[in-house]
Amino acid sequence: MTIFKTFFKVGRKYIGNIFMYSAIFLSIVLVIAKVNGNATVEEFLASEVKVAVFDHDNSDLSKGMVQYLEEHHNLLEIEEDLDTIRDRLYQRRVEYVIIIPKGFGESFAEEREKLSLDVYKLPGTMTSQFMDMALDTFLSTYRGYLAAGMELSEAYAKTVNTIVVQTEVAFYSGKEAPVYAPIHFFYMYVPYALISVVVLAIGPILIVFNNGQIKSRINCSRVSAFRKNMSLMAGSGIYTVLIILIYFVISLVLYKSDVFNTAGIFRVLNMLIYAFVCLAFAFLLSMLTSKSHLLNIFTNVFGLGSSFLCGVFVPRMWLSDGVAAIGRFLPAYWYVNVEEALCSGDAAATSVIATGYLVQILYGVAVFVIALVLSQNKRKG
Amino acid sequence: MSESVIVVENLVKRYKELIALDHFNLDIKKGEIFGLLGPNGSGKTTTINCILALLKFDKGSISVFGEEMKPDSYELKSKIGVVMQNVAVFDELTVYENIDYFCGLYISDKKLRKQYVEEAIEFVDLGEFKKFYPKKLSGGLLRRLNIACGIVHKPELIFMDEPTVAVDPQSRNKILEGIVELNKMGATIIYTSHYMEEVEQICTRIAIMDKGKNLAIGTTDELKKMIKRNETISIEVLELADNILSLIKELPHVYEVTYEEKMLKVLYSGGKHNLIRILDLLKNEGVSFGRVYSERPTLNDVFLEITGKELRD
Amino acid sequence: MFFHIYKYRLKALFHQKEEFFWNLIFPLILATCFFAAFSKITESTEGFSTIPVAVVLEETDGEKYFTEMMDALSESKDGEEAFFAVNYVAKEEAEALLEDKEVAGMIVLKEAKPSLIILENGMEQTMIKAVMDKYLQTMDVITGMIPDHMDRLEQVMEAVSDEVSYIREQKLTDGNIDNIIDYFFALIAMTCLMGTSTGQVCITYIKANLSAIGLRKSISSAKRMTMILGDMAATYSLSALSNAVLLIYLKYILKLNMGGSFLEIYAVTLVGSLIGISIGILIGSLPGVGEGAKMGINLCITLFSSFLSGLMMGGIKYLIEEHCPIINRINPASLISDALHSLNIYDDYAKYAQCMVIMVVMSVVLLTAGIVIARRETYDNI
Repeated sequence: MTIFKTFFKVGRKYIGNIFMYSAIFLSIVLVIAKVNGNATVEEFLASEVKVAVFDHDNSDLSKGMVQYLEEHHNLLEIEEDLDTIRDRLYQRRVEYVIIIPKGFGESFAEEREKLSLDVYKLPGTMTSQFMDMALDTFLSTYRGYLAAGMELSEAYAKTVNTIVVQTEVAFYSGKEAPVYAPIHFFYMYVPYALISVVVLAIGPILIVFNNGQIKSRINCSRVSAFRKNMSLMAGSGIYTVLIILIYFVISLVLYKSDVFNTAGIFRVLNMLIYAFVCLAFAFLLSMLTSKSHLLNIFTNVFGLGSSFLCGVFVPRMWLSDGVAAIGRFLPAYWYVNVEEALCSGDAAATSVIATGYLVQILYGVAVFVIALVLSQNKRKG
Repeated sequence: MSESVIVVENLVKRYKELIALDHFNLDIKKGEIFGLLGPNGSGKTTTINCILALLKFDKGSISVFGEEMKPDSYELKSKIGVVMQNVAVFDELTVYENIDYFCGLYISDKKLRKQYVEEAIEFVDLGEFKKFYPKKLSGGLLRRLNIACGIVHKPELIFMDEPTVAVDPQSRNKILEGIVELNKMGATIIYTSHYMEEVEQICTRIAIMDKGKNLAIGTTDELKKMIKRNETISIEVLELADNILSLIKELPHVYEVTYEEKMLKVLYSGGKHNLIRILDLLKNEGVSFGRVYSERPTLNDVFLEITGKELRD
Repeated sequence: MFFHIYKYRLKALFHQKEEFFWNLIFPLILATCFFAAFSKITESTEGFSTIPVAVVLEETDGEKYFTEMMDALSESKDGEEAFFAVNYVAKEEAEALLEDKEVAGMIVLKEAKPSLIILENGMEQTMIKAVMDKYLQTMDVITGMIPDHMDRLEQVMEAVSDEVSYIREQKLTDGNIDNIIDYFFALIAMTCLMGTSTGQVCITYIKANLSAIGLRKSISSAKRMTMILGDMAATYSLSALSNAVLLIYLKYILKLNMGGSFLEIYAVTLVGSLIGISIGILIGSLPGVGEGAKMGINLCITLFSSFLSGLMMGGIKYLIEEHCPIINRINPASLISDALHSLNIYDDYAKYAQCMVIMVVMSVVLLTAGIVIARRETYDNI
């Protein structure tokens, strides 16, 4: 019990770190969750493209086109300046920029070569293809009506009527689309926070016991390596639970009843298991280094790296198969599996969740065993 | 009369409620090895830090080489060397590089610096260990390195704050010899310790301090003369009757007699032939005795008599 | 004396093998993770690829025109990918393909009108709808010719089905328009800001109340400014080396197009590292704050700064630009990222110069503040 009690006495000095790191990473998680979290929209929304138009023509046709874009897309106002256009396109704040040259409408009215619209677009993207098509459709329809011998205004009016003819779209009811409630986004980003907080806050305390003269002193005592390590794990386990509690309470405040339904309970359990995997890493690291500031590098590399490779910061469906294969070797991958399964409402979800839990637990145990073996070898060596 | 190198007048330093230095006075002359003797927490290190303008003090004045010491007194600092209690070396540099580095903070001339560094290494006898890193050195060798880094630039005034703590006897002797050598070469040395034997061995003048106060200053002999005790004779006696104790008490210069755990202890305030007298007495009374010790008073005795407690707690 | 201090500090830093190695390697590992994670992403989200669809023909009336159109769209032209990959199947099979996500949508042709059934919302589904809309609209034009304009039917059909495009694409930039590069810019920014911890150490080794070495240095006759600058220069040199390694890796091994030349980008990292170290020096010199707390503050600054410049969530910098642009003007990571972004996208150096000037001014202010605070050399307690 001595080591267990002393752990907390030493931990008193570091308890501030637990709250500080929790606050830092929690803030990041909350911001990302808020920005990314949107409930699914059930109606079909033909993706509205963010368009900017500069009408140098001011003909009926050009004005009509601007109106069409306003009604069917997201028409935005920006400065007509190449740098601004580049910026907005790069930032995806605008996805397509059209410059209607002077004389454009006239060129359609007369039997001559038609002028073209000058566009700035994001090359090779779906949005640019889509807008190209939409504009070409509009203009070819207009040309069609002109070819029928109609007057300009009549041709334009008919074009507008034709353009609103839309395909009927329905969602397939055979399978439910995944429902991404706001709570999902919070728990989705928690792995990044947990690995950082647990390692940075608890790692230094473990380093105190696993290095230098204190380690030698303990090794000379009656306490076996196993008992020492169990005491340390117990102590750090309690601190880990404290960290989980903080995250749990925050999610309770934000998402209320969503925490207490079945999915919510599974989520909290998922978080708990992952936190213990992180603790196993903290334990292993404390055996490998005596320098607390190196823990920072580990959390950056492992925390950020696995968040990108396992589908935390980058949705799984956007990762290549090769990357997903590498991700399987990381515990965050299995955490995300559980989280995705909780959203899918699939019948097979239960087995995915169980597998996810099991793999994470095995991972944590394996890392912990490696740490114990290292501890034993260091003692002998 | 030698000029004063350090003059401390009425120094008061408080750490919140605790008075670390209580109207402390000091006057250290050039060429002395001045000992600051006192138990742990008596204010020795605080005194040195105040003199070096590292610590603020609440009252009093300090002058070094006749000037007020300030953080930017670079001229003054160039004449001072310090060997602090905590070893202050770079783990990432070798023995040679550490000494060279710290020498370079005083001496810009490359050639002169090289010479000084070699001399310092020889002085602390670390020649074999030039390329070693501090982690590979024993405690004693590390302390020697610490000293070398503090004195490499041949300062006129050297502060040594408990330089022999946790040091093996061989290294300790080396260090003490080195200090005397430095003094012979012209340096004034302020030496703090709670090991009275070292202070007695090398210091020309000693100040005994406790609880931030200067209790007594003088040479070893002067300090010892301050107390009543002149000689202590201890004799192993198996049995001693009370009447014999009374007889012993009546011997000349005896002022205290104790008999505990088969050890007779007699304290004398003076006199020359005390040992012969007491042995004669015991012989005449037919008292058998074993081993006999005669001791002159130590600084610990001085400290004990002045404060009522031991130097080493 | 400056070079003496610089030389030995540099040597000591190189000797800290663990730190040196990991500080050099970790940005490379992260860059590799990003590169791997993003390798498919642009293609997945934006890049055009052939859309698989299932077509259910519930009648034969009007089928011919529809299937002709679909077959035409299934052919690749001029080396470009085909628009659709069409599967003509029965309804049940189509539903199965849709459920398994083998097709992006299911088109049911009934009474000469196609309707679309989808599983989820997205760009592919929108594209399918757009083609179906065009079909319906073309049909609408043609049926509108009945009965009054039948004599011009041929010209009308020619006009609506003419393959000519009315779009002329303008060249945007020579740089990399793929905004995934923002993540790498944010990574470069974070690497620069890791200098906060090494900057803090510069102060730890100079202050008497923070380390034994600091105490020894405080009582030496070397000027404080020389000592701080010497240590700082050594730290900065190491940082510059680390930046160079990262840039070489990004530009020549991962072959990322970052827009500007190597030297132009490197100059940004040099200034960025200066800010990082300056922040560390300022934090390190704060009196009354424990070393652990200082490390925490440094970490907080580095992380938050990097987060707000888009390290974990791309696009956040632009959200901030919309709602609170002042943050981007003072956030060091955003300034570094902006400078790199401007090299990538713009033709002139106006924005680049602006970012660099702000960063240099910030560094000077932070460094001056840090040195002034650290100069206080008399303490209440050591």
